[in-house]
Amino acid sequence: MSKNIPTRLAFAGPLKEGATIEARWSAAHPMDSGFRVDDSGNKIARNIIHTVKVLLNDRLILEADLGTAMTSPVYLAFPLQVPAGGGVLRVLWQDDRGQVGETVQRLIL
Amino acid sequence: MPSIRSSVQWFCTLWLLLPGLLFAQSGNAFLSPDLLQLQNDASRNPTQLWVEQGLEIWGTPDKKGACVDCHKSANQLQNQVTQFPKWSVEKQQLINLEDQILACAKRSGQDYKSLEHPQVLALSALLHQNATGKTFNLKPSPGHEAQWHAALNAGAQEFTQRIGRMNLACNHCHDQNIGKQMRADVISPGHPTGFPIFKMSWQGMGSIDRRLRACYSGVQAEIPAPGSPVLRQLELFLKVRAQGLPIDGPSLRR
Repeated sequence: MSKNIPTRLAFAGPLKEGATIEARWSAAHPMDSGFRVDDSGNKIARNIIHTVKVLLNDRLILEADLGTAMTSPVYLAFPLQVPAGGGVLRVLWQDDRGQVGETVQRLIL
Repeated sequence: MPSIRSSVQWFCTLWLLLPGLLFAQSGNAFLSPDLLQLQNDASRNPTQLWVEQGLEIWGTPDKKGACVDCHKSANQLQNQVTQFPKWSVEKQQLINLEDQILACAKRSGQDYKSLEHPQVLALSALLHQNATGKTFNLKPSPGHEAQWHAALNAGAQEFTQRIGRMNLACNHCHDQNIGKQMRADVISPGHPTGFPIFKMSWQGMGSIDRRLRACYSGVQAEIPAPGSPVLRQLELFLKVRAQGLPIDGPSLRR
């Protein structure tokens, strides 16, 4: 788990059973594209979040392969149907340096 | 009895404060509609990442954090946030909120290396968020009036001093050309109510210290080192100039 990369998960829309809401995930990851150079002209190695997996109540609902064009902080919004009784949404990510992280948010009805 | 010289200086400082008061507008008033929408939507606003991290570092009574033991809730420091920069007897210069966070962190054994350390910015963002709506309340601390006034005057002097290859002073844009276009930007009065800022071109958060250094770079002047007294004097002048304007909390900039 990476402590130094703050992430957050927010919901927009009515938290009611069956309703479609938007989940908004963001992470303050540097997202170094690998194309940039530092002050001394040395290439900064690529380090981006390349894989994001979203699990709703432990069921995979979204898997994304991100490219170098993603902004920093990473922002990912996706629609979501609220299951009966709510649940737990988990976003798992992994970057090029092998850092992994998880953002968990409860869907409370 | 203040000397004639210091009275004249004080009068000049007051005179300089005037345009800032006439154009009392927050920097958020100069955001594009898209950015303003992003600013006002907490579920999308990137500054909230830092605010949430700040809350985590701060801690709660049941969950141990770095600050909660001494300061209780971050909400209780609302008024203190509005009083920076203030005169530090220990350092014999002005210190701002980020300096104070660094000093606190050092005392409590945290290893925050610089003013722009992510954790320092996170705490600063949290404290400024809680102080939203308050106004700057800058007064010299008792016994240090002379140093405080000297610092304020030095800030005013810096504000009007032509510098750099562009040969521009702050007031040439932020007093005399407010509302006009400078390339793709509209010039704001430069009221520092929205710090720390998330600047799109930085793709990250920055303190007022970093923003002011970026101004020096913009006019192609020699850039002062982070934490230089001149940056704090300028910050004091700018905040006195913005007195009466509500603090916006951490804000987006282009």
